[in-house]
Amino acid sequence: MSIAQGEYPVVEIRGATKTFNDGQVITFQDLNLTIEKNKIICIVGPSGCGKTTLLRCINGLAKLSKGEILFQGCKVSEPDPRMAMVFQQFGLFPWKTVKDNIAYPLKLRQVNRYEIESAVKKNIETVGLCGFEDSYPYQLSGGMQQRVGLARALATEPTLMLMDEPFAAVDAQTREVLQGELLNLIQQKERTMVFITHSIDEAIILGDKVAVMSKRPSNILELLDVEFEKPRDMKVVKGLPRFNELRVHIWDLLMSQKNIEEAQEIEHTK
Amino acid sequence: MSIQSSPPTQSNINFKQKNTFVQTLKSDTVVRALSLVFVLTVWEIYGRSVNPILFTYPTAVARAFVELISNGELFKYGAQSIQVLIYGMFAGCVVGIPMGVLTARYRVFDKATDMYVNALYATPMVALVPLLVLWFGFGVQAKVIVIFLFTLFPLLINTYQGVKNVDTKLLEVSRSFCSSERQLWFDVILPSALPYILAGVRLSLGRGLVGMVIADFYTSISGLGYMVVVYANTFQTAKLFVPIVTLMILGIFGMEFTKWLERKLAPWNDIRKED
Repeated sequence: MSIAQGEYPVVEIRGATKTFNDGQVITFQDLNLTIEKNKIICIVGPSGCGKTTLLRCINGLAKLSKGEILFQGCKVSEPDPRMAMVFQQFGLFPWKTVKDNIAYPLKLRQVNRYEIESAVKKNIETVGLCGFEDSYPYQLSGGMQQRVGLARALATEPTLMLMDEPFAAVDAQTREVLQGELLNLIQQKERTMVFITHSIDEAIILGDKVAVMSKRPSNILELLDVEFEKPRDMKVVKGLPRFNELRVHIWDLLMSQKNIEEAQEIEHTK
Repeated sequence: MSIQSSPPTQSNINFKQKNTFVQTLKSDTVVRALSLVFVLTVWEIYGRSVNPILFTYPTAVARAFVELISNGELFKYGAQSIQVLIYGMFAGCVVGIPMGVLTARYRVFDKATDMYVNALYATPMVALVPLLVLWFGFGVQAKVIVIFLFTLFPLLINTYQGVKNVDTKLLEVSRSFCSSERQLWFDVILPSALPYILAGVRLSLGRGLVGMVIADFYTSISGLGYMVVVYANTFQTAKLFVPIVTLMILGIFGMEFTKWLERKLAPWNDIRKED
């Protein structure tokens, strides 16, 4: 099994199609994408193109209408404990403290108490929430809440991390801080990640690859390699001429989708 | 304020809020006390000028209180009432809360029972009391069943609403982390429905008190309701006010207790409401 895991890419999406309302609305159609081990793939696309739906399908929360998604060579049919999602609206339980929110997935897995404690402690340190262990989510700012969401996902030591526009609900400055921290995090330890975002900058800074999706019925318009070497520094990367080239290129791709309204929304989040 | 100055810490902010909070609390208390003194004085003056068979006044009620407490009557009947109230409400919780969860989570349960629940909830329960007395007699059993029926529906319906209103995003978080249905109940559904359930307890306490007095009226051998009937029939108006005021105090303490319980058990909900 361990050999087999080595042979397969982490995720293989083959001919994935998802429709709603008995096939009347096609979200994405015949989509193919491979996610290799230790790569960060960022997915950008116009709103409503099904980025989040695709992520939910990878996670096993939603089922494809056609095609298949393989996770380490096995077909995904329900959520797998080796994947961990970070949610757009944080998805924290308001009645649990920071500590208990992070411990939650581990408790579900009946990990023993001491391991849970050390995992929680370690990840609280990782995301810089020391001193807030016993706070409730409502006592924290949006940025801090998402750190909890991140720590919760990290604590499960997932093979694959699924990030559903994790920084979309925080203010612009916090967002940049969190981007920088996440960049450090993925450079300290190699991780496999699918990162959905509206922000082109975010995608280029964090991604090894950027998948640009088209409007509905959507597909991958282009899969770009972001060849900046790691470790990256956010400020340095943003100053590189290649960064701007990629940015303009992705922008043009999105604009080619000729939906001005949606493009404006993307511009807004830039 | 310059940017370099230290940002306000948590304790700073809390202190400031607490200060103004205490001030408003103080002035509120003064207004309330003055209002109470005014109303009692007017009542006292007016009450003394009316035939004591029809009305009474605060000092007479206070005397009646002392008398009925010292001869043990109030405690005897009060204890009887509180006992059946506790039994009835306990039965209401034990049946109502699980039924609420089941009907909200399983469509079959919902559709099989919703007609009866809606019909019985709409029926003024008072109409059923003579029937229940006929079936179950004049004892504790009949009263407990009356209170049970009075309290069941607010509990059931509130629990149902609470479970139905569980944030679907949080359910998805649980599913994403591979929660089983049973784990889902205890980790997400019940905590999330808790504020609704506690509000149901508060509502049903009010209705339970009504049920309690009505049950006493019909069975007429025990409880505070019995005291009301006896003293009204014998025109002892001052004594009549003793069980009434006791019921009032019971109601107020019950409400405050359930409110305190809500804040204690579901603090997150309190804060969200303030936002």
